[in-house]
Amino acid sequence: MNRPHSLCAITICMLIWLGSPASQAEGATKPIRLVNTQVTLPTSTTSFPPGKGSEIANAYCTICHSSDMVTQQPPSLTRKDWQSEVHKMKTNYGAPIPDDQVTLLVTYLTATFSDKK
Amino acid sequence: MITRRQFIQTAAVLAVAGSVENRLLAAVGSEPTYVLPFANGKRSLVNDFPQKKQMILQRVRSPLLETPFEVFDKGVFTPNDQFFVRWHLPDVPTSINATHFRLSLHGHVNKPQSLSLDELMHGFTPVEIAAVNQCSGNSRGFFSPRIAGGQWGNGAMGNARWTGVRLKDVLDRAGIRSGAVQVRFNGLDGGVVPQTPDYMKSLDLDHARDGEVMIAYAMNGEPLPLLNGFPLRLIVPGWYSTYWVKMLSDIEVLAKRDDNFWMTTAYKIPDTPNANMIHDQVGVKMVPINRMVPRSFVTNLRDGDILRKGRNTVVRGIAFGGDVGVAKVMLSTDGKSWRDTQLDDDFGKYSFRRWQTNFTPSQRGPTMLMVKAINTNNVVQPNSANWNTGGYMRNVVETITTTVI
Repeated sequence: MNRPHSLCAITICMLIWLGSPASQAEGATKPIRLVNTQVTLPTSTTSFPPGKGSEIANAYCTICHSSDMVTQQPPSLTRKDWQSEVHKMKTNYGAPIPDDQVTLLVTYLTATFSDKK
Repeated sequence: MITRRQFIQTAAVLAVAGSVENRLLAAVGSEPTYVLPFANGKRSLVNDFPQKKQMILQRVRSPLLETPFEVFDKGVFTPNDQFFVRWHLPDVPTSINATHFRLSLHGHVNKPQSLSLDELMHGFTPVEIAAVNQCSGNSRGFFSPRIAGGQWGNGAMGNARWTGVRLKDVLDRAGIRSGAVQVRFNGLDGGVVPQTPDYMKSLDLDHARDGEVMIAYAMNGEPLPLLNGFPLRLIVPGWYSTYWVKMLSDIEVLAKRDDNFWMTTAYKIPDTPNANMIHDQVGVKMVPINRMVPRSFVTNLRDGDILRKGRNTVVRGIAFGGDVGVAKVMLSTDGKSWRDTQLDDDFGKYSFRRWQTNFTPSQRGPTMLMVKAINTNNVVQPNSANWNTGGYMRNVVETITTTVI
């Protein structure tokens, strides 16, 4: 499971009264107060399943997103689909995957997550 | 026909679950999962995202959280703490200083503005609108063939009362210079590698100034949850959520059309009816996704439910018209004839509209319930599902299969 374990907390640092235009307009709803807001987001505790090439996925894919984005993809995706995804991540989003590791990464993703090897 | 079969599942309680409420309660505290009815559709139900109750976990970082479908049966407005979440870029600020926050308005204007939250809330006429916020890729998991991307069920949508100020009023304060063509919106989120394009979206100037597009500081009468865009979010009624920029901090009036990645490459749909294309079709003209289309759902029954012959059953749900209001919602129990349902209160043309009807089954066996909305522009939900390379704009007539005993 891709279950985050860290706790989240909402810390209200200080209250700031910012008025109530909504209540003035509606006459009934309660005033809106915008206050300093600080939250903690859960962090991913999962990594890519073992396999030849998983180290590439763990090194580069997770710079920008947790592994669950990959592990939850449809099993019907083909090698061509995975090729296209890796290309998209490199070209459009700047994933720093070295050119000479792309083929191995695509092979890993297809072997691990696709039912059409 | 794709069917919806969403249910809460735990190792211990599966078949014994009774009502929706019981299913939710049974799942609490035992590593609950939620099964979306497509291959690889098992998801965790999580409670540990800030300002959120139980949500379907689609991605931890950056967060993608789906609303469990049961929530839509509880009311016409989706609670903030179960409203879906979708961030594109990994650097989501986790701390907002409400005193120091400024909304910058610049570009092709006479008087650039830097507005505090206080100035925004007090310096303009407040407005409120009920509107559906729906991800372009809502229901992508049901596409056939499947498509890479966020594998959403039907819960990447929600309906809220948004309070804020008209974008038009704020633009007028700055004074648009002649020659302006578009307005671009940017939020505080960003990438973690320099090459990642910053997330920005643009609207044509006439659209931005239509008096409906607004800058919201409240959602259902409360400040927005941080993950839904605190402190400010652009509201674009009738348009897909991709334009509803969260943590809105920067507005730029452009003298030429926006050529940034998120407008020219991402979120493109075929310029065809229902954004539909054939799987390997090439040379299709693609355009930025824009207006929403009508949808409707049954919310109180689900696939596999048992109905009794001769016994009256209430069937109810939600509908929305897309970019205009709902004209009618119809139910079919035989796939051929359609009956009108009763529409509940109207909260405005961009809102969910609740509907209900009565159904007394007269025949035993598998019975399909199909629901179809028609909007006030006479746009009807299609009987067959669309397909496109992005997995966008699904709005096929929904079907659930019950069994009459």
